Amino acid sequence: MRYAEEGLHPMVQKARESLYEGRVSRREFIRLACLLGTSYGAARFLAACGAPTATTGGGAAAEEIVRGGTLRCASQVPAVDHPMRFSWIYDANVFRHIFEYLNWYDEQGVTHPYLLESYVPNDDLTVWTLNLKQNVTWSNGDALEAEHVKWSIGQWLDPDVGSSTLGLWEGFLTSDGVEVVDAHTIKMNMDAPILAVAEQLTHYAAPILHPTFDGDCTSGNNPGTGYMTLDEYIEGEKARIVKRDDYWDMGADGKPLPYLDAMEWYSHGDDQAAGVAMLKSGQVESIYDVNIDNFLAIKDDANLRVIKTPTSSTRVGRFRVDLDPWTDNRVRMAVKKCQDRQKILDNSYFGQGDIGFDTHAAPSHPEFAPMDDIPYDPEGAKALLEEAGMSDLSFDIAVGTGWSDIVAFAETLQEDAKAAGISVTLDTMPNSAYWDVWTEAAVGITTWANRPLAVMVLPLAYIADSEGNPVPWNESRWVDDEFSALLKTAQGTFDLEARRAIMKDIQRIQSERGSVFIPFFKPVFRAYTNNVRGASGHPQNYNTEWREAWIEPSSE
Amino acid sequence: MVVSENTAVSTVQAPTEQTPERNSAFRDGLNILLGSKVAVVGLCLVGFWLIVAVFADNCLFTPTCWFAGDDYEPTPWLARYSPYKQFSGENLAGPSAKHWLGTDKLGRDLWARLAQGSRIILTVAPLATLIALIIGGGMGLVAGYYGGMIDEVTMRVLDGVMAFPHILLYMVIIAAVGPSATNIVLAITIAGAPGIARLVRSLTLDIKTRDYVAAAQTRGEHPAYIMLMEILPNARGPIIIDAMLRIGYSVFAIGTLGYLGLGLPPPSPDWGSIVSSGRRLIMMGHIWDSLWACLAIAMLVVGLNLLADGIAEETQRYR
Repeated sequence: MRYAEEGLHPMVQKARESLYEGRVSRREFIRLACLLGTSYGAARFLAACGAPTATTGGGAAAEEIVRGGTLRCASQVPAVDHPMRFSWIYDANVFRHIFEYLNWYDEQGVTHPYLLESYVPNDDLTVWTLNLKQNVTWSNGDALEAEHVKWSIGQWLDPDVGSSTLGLWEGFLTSDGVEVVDAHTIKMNMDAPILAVAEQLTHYAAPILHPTFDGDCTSGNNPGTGYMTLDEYIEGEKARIVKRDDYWDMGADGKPLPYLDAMEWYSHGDDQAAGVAMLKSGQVESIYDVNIDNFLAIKDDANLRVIKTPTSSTRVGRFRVDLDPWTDNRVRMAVKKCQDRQKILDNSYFGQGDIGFDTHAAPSHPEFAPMDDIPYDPEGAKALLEEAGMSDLSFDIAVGTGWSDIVAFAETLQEDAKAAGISVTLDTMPNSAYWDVWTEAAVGITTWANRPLAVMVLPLAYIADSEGNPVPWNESRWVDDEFSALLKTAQGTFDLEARRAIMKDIQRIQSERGSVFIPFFKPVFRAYTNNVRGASGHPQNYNTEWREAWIEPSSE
Repeated sequence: MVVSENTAVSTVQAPTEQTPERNSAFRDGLNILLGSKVAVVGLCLVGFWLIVAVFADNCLFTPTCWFAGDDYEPTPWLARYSPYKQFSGENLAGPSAKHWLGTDKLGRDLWARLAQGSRIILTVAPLATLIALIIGGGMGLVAGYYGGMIDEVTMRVLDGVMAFPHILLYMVIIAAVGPSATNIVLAITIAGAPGIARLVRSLTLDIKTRDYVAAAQTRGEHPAYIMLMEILPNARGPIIIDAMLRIGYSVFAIGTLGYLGLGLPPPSPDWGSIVSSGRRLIMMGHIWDSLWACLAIAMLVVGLNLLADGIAEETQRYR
């Protein structure tokens, strides 16, 4: 056990004081501590010290657990080849149990070391030292060594492999910066300070592979560090993985994980309704990433457990601020005031989710500073438009019809904006056509996936690059000097409370003069039959939770 | 019932005598309609939606509404509410006294949307059919009358268009030009015209051998006159029956396009869009959107088919 307090990052000590004084929640503390390299167990220990609340504990008591059984899931079974070229999160569903990751982002949004024992940044966050667990073995019997990890990182960063992981490290790390210190220690020498290292090591396209990897993960010949090995993979039909006997980590009953004998995926193609039918008829125990329509179909089913996880994934309405009339903030504000946020959430997501405040920082982000409700105010909108000389404003809004909640969002805004004399027309197109214009349309609603931290998502879309041009994903072209400066400070601020104080201004600026309208953040859903235990949802929709899942035998 | 080319040809009537009295022609038509029970049932079904479409709100009777767009809020009559009004908190309700057919996901009254949708369907479908009739009929007349190379070239090109499955053709056209009422008319026209051209051509081939056509030719009449005044009126029976069926197909086509997400953009209450957005709600137990819209489409299409059957039956008896 590593509960010694020396060696803790100074910020962790400070955060711990905040925890005791009640200024940060226990969850936030654990999260920050983990981010800075304290192991999850140690962080929980630190958090629990002196605090009256008992730890809720993770997982079941050992005596309850029943080993054996197969967990079946209705999902996609997509065409895949190289795990570093996975382009959808669900591509990794099968293989994340075979090829593991250096870190793990859990269902609470907390990052933990996984293949790593710990990670330690230097004080200015330019050198990160990764310490590997000593006992990890590959399925071919080799021990996991630093050289394997260096090779894998080299693959992430090799443009010829074509991994999306490269984009995360671009400008921070090159393969020359990766240095093997000893058999279980690696140093990442960064070109610039970076805070999000721990979270980036969880990226679904950044697994650790054995240097003998043959380029095709479906071949079944590749060793992995995971608790499962591939049995069969038939694209568009099914996949089956089976238990490895000599896994390096133990379950609560003292024997090697996993509890399950096998996991299987059955393809429902693009029609999730077929998956719901499979779940209801008992052909599978689980369905991956239940959409909102299907959530409502199964939420009251007594045989099922539907898990809702809040996320920062959202629908971003945005104006191109380099085009008239959106150059004028009064016009943008007028449209924002026409959002009846609760009604939009009700209409488009059946009331499931968090209210948004026209800033891309979500209430589920740890550094989110609470904001006041923004009322529906068509009169205020009208006054603003008159002031701007834009009464009778009418505009088109681009929406992809495949996202039924986006269409409902736009239709509700359209109806509620009438009271302010604004005429909105929906410019509908198939989703694929929307992705052709998502950075080009004057006004549109874009889907954005979950990002663990607000300081990870804001720099993607609301700043300029070093030459002053908006960054590639800055779909609204909005660049604000004060906002950018504050964001830069926030990115380098490790103290959560201090970061939240900065976020307060960042959020206010984006809400009051920014280029986006964000009325809600959506949750993700996962469904299981009642006999599946130890499984949960995941804010990124990573299928990580089966590692310690088990199936309760039927009592019949 | 689908009118095949053979029966179509057999229903060609002898040349009517040139009776200038329009009244008697109208009476003939009415007799044909009311003489057939099948046609009367069809007329009732179609008539119901016609009445709903006309009296859904006061817009048709208020000239200021015609070109006002969003600036004029029509007073609902039969529809009871505006099809766009969102009743907050009453989302996904079943039928009740307040909302006869229930409400949709956004809390909009389904009856109001169906009523308003009938206006769209009953404008777009007949309009698309009419334009297809004019274009296809014109090509068929010319091809059949002149024959030879003109016939060959025209018909082979049209065969080429017909070789595409209709739904694929709609998707290609709408995807290329974007979804709007005009473009849906365009897509249905392009897909429907070749079939009409074929029918009209075969009728023309038959009729042009008649003596009265030869007589007109010897009189030195212009070909256009012969085609429009001698041939076309005598081919009208099968063409009218075919048109009825085609209006029905157009209703289906609009529904299909709406279902594929290529229909009129939201919040349009056209029936296809209602089916399409309602489809997602069926699994969660809210069947009303899709059910009512499907029933409405079925009513109209069955009505039009019965009407066509009745007319075919009666015109045959009249011979």
